[in-house]
Amino acid sequence: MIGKLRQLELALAKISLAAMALLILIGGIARTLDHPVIWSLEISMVIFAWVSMLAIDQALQKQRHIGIDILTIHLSQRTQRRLNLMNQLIILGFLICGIWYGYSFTITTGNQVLPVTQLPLYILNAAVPTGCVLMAITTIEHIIHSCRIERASESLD
Amino acid sequence: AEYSLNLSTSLTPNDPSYQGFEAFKKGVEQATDHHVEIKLFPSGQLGADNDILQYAQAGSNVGIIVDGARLAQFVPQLGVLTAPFLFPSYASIKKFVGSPVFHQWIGELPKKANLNVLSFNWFQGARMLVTKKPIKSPADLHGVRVRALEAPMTIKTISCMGGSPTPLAWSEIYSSMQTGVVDAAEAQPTAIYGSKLYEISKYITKTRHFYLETGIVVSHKWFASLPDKYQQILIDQSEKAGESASQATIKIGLKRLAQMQQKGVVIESVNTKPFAKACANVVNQMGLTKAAQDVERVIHS
Amino acid sequence: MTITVILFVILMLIGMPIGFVIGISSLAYFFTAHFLPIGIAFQKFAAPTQSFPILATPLFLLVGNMLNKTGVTYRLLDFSQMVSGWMIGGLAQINVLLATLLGGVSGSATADAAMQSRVLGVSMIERGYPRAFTAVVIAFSSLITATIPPSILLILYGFVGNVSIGKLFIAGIVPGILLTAILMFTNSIMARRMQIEPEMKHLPTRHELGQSFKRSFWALMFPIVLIFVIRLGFFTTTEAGAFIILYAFIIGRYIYKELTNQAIWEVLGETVSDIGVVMILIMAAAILGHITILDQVPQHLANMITHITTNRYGILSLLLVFIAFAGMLFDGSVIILLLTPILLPIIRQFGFDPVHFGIIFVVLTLLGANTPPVGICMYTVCGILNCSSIAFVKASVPYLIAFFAFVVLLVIFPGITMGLPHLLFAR
Ligand code: NA
Ligand code: NA
Repeated sequence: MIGKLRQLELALAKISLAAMALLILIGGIARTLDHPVIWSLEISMVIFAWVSMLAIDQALQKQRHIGIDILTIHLSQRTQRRLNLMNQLIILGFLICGIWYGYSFTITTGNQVLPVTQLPLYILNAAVPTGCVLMAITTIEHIIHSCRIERASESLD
Repeated sequence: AEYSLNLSTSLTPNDPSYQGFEAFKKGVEQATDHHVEIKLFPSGQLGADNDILQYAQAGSNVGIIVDGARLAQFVPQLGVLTAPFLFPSYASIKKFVGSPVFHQWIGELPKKANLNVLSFNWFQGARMLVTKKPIKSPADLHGVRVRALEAPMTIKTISCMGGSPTPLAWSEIYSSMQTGVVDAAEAQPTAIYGSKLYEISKYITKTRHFYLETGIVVSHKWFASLPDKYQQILIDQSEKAGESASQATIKIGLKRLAQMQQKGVVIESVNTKPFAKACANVVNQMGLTKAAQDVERVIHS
Repeated sequence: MTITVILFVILMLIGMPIGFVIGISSLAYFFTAHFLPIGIAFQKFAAPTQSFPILATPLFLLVGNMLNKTGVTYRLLDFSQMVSGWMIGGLAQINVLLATLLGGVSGSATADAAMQSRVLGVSMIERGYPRAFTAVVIAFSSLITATIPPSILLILYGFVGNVSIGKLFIAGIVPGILLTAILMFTNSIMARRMQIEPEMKHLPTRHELGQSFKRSFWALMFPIVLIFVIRLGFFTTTEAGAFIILYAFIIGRYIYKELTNQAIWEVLGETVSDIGVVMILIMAAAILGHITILDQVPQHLANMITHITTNRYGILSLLLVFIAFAGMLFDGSVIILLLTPILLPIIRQFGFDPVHFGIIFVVLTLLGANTPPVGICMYTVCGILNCSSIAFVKASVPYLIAFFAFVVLLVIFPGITMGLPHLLFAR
């Protein structure tokens, strides 16, 4: 189930990225040929917001986000694992805020529209809270994984 | 201070209106004995205009300088303020924004959008064309890519005047005009001067296709939290500052045109009748027929 | 603001990913402030994705990954090996030259650095250049972007500070070339020290050079095509990013025939995760930027400076130190927007030329992108090349010294910046 969701998410991100590049290119070519396409930029920016959020989740799944390890490398394996678990929990809290406040902000400003296309603004503003939902799922997976390792190593001790 | 307002604008501190904001700040702080504090954030430091409107809607203590087009998404009639060739002069639009009809329109903002207008008498100048070739008639604009403000009304206006509207962030305008991504822009003299477009263009044509009137909009939630007497002080002070800022803008606008002429830009008047005729249908297309009739009635009364 | 600073330090020290450190510590501020709906923090988080210059970043990341898959990188390397293989630290030198060529075009240091990490960085490491050294060379070469026109930061500065953008562009050219020379000089010293053997024992023959040029012709055309479409006014820099993707697609698919559908699908996947690494930093920094602006932190600091001294050069030095520190904490465009209106009146009052100051200002601002604690360019390069930030900081010391010398030269000899504009704009 989650695996399927992940595949779908990644495929969506890839297709959106390609679509974004294509739209920007079409915008530029059309203008050079004296037939400016007025909506291409606005749509590509909406896609950019979604691509960014999906991409951040992708990097989170692959654990590619960079941290500073000046202090932590000197600690014991066990403390490092505990700190890591604590980090995950704080991040989860942040993401839950993003979901809750992000969606309520989206609803509050729901009657605004995008200036050129006049599309509802929520198609843009929903990107952050929706991305936070996906990242929260990823983080919960990480937390469950960390807990399992923790338990396994404790039974070893 | 007990109450504080963060006033945001995309204008730079060099813009004549900015002195008006400073006067507004000083006036309010003095009149409320510093119980209401106003912080100014020029150059779009706090965020893009549309973003700030969202913050205000969400109940943040922000204020923002906007034109009618931005508010038309909440009260459609307000779009008429930037309609092409509808207002014949600054005096006429000034008369209109002082009329009961206009006040009824903006009176809908608190309920519809959680926004409140403090004053709507901040004149920024008449919009003109900045081009690399002379413009005498709509035919001269054929195939000319004109940078358009990201609003349907401006896009329609540029098309009907003969040009190809090309939406682009204002911050991109200098490099885009220099390399030829766009051929022209439309703006008021103070903005043309501020963005240094005179360095890279040859002609300014005084089409005056609309008169850019703006207002200070604040969050209704914040405004309603103020005691009545402070609310009134904010309204009075912003009216007062707006009026003197408008006068300063007109004076400095003329000075800027003269300075740009000195730097070698050709400043030309043009017969606007053919342009106005070509654009006559825009208000109908935008569904603003009734609003335009209201405007005609008020300015001819 | 205090809570943000404290949380920032703690979370960073316990090893949380830096994007979340910035985001979470900034979010804490929203809980302590009145009339500041928390939703705004998350709206700010999305705001950079609505910025035109930043839109170039994902495009140039995609370009970098595509060039690798299309065989362009391999051929470019082959050619640069011919040209500079006999030099000590040849690949590092090529990196700087390429940055000078491209930096004028993409306009964004982070986009440039990301692309170069993909194009050259990986190969440099494969050829035995130390990881951290490679990262530092790429990160510092990308700073050339700041001065060679078109520079987004210079446009912002000119716009906010009411300074001639045309003059700023002209003024940036000589410093850009000087910086290129200084970086290449530093490269050669460092490569000698690290005893990186030249890759070739002899100078290439004319025949070898010709063959290699022929093989890599379409790859070599890449920066030229990019410059061409922008200079002729076909495209904005962002659109040029999209156009160059098309170019890479065509040569990869139809000329070198290496870009299969499968390869495209893989490239998109790699790029998506690269975008995630970069964008979380830019987006979280936008929340931090917002609260510092709300608290008018820069204004307070500027006030302090003018209280310390009123000596002309004393003020200038203090301002430059202050800018360098601000650069360490914030994104370049944020600093320009914030500080230009505050610092420029001081600069004018003490009789310095705003064009001269602007170049130094912009260069120093960008330098901060390569320093902790918030160095977007540094984290980007380190993220892609998988190099630890401590190693990066250690390896960057010689380049920081070179950069410092560069700034001192710019300050002491205004002619470096002002010579060309005086020549061209004299009336
Ligand atoms: Na540049
Ligand atoms: Na930094």
